Amino acid sequence: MNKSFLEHFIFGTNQELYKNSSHGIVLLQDTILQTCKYLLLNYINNRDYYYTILCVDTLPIYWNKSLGRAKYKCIEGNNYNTIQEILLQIKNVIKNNKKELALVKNVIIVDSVNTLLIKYSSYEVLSFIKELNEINKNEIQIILIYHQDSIINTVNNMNIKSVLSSMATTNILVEHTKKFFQNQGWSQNMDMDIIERNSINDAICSILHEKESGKMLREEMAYSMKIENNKPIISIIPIIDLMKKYIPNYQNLLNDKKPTKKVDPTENLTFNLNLTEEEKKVKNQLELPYFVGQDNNNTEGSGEIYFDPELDDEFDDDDPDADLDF
Amino acid sequence: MNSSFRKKINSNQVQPIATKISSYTSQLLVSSGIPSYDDLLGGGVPVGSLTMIKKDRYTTYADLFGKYFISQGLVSNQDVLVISADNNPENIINNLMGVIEGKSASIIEKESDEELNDNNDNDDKEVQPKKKGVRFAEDDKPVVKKKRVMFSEDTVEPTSKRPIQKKSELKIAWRYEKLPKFNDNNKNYAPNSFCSYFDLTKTLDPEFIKSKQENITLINIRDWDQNDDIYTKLYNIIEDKLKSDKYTKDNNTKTKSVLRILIDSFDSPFWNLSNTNNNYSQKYIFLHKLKILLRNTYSICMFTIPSYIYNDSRDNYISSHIRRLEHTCDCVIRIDSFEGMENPLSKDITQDFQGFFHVIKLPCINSLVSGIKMSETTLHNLAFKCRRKKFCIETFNLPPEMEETDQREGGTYIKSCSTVKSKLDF
Repeated sequence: MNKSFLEHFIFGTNQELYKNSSHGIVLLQDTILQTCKYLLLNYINNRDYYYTILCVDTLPIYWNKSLGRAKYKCIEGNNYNTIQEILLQIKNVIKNNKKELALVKNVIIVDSVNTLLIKYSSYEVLSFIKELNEINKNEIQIILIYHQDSIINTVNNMNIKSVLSSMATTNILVEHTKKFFQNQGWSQNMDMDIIERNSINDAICSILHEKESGKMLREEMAYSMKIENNKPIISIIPIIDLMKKYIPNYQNLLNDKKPTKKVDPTENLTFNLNLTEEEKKVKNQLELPYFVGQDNNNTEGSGEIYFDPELDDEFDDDDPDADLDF
Repeated sequence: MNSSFRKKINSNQVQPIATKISSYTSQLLVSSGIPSYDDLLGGGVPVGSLTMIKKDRYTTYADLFGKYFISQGLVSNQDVLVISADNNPENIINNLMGVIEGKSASIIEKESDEELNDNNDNDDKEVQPKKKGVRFAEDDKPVVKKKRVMFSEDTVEPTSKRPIQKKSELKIAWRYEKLPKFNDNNKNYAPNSFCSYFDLTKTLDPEFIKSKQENITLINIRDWDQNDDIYTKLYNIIEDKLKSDKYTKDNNTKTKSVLRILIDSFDSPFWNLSNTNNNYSQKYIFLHKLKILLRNTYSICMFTIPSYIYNDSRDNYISSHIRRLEHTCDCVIRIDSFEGMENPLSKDITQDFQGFFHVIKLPCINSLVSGIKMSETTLHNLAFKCRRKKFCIETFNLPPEMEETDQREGGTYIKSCSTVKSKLDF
């Protein structure tokens, strides 16, 4: 069972590891080379929530085609003049959902924050997102689709991507596999044909998630998708699997990444710290004074430590070993 | 550096509560709430200064500075003004950190050295100072000291309103006769201490906050009409507030207080500018005018700014806008937490600390250079630690290199208290 965050995001497994991931803002970033919609569609199909989709970039008809059994409602963003009206409309939909299906979680998907930023000022859009977050905090998840390679000019040269990623609890960046490898320097001369764009087969996701304890979780995972019976089946795989597929000499690259050997501290000393063979023999034969007594005791301790923390003692509540996997 | 030399100060000038005069620059100082930050600045934050704190990404350590600042102000009976657009100012006030019961840091250290007077009540003899920070002077057990042995720092305590009692049972050495005696007969058991010990796990008592309502002013920018000129309006409000007699620098005999102004997330995207012209210059003009106000009254301003939003798309710092704001401020520091770094450092290096603390500019008011005692190399090598209970700034050092922090190799390292019998078991 894969314990990665991406697995949790799509399928909902390992809920106890990622407690705060069910609410907050998810910033789903993609590029023109690889869209994030495949990931998103798998999310929608795997998680049984009620979706409110604000369509500004795309028409509702495309969502109707892709989403099968999922419960959703599309709001046509271009029908409204001001962003306040859109906000009101979304709030109404959520209110109605609460009445009908009170227990089902609501997810708001904003298709393309970029278009919103072009139509309205950055302040209005950011306030809008903030107010969305304040509808029933801790119960609603907001997914913002953001195209990170398009430059948005703001009034005071603000970097909107920084602002959005600081506001978001989870940042997921979807990248085209070959482009990712190219950026890492692992493969050159990759021709990006038009056919290869928006590969439905696989992509690599870089995730930055803010855990409940305040620590940041960073992860790079890949997914691979197959179509069976007209339904997409996604599986989360480590990046190495994709490397095997696309890069013939990936073994060499892995070797380069291995950590260097431990530095031997006795190398460059002017005095000798090592023992000769004779000295080693003598050392092994030496009887230490308390050994005899120890052997006779033969008691095994329970190994329990009794610890009374004093007033001034400080220790972190967060166990750093929580996400080790053995 | 202990010395019995005292700087000659103008004794006609009424010193505001909970302030002290720096021995290096004769500047009036106020505590920021964080003792290690006070040390960095040479005793405390200068009154009349404007401090810019550049925020860290994804984490909220910079907000701690603001909270400590306000908490210290409330505990020392000073006035605070909190301005915010991102967060609700009430939330900031309600979540301030609480004080470990006890008095100020400097008084506690002195008390542990002093002997109690024989003429005290018998009850007082039971109150023995055990640990730092736990000594608690309760209302019904007044601790009256008539002897003060030594000052531990070169400070001058407020001399106003403390009649020197020449008549005392103890004969004080002539050198100390003229110095003020510590007279705790005024019943407030939270004296106007300079710096208090705060505990991050506690919050300030809501009752205490209620009792301080007249000292607290909150401004929520999001409540304002968005067509207003934010900076002009804000400046006018601050100017009005500072016209009160408490903060003026004249010699009226009333008690003087310091107004602490905290601007949370200045110039964040929620400070709407879309309807005004000359967007950039608005901010400089505001800060510049604010600095003039601060210099002419007993007030201090500290603001946090999310400067990373002005980095370019590759996250390089190129913003001339921020640089100009930096030049307007007296003190500029940057918090860079390890969690929020783009390329995070290895855990081995960063396990003891939570982030780097960069000093970009130190305050030097009324002087050519700032009065700090730290060498340049230590100054540019600082990191902060935020443990459960407190926040402190220290020199950054690598943790000791131990075998276990390297890659785990099989079971070759020794486990203590295990049931496996090996020659070196205890």
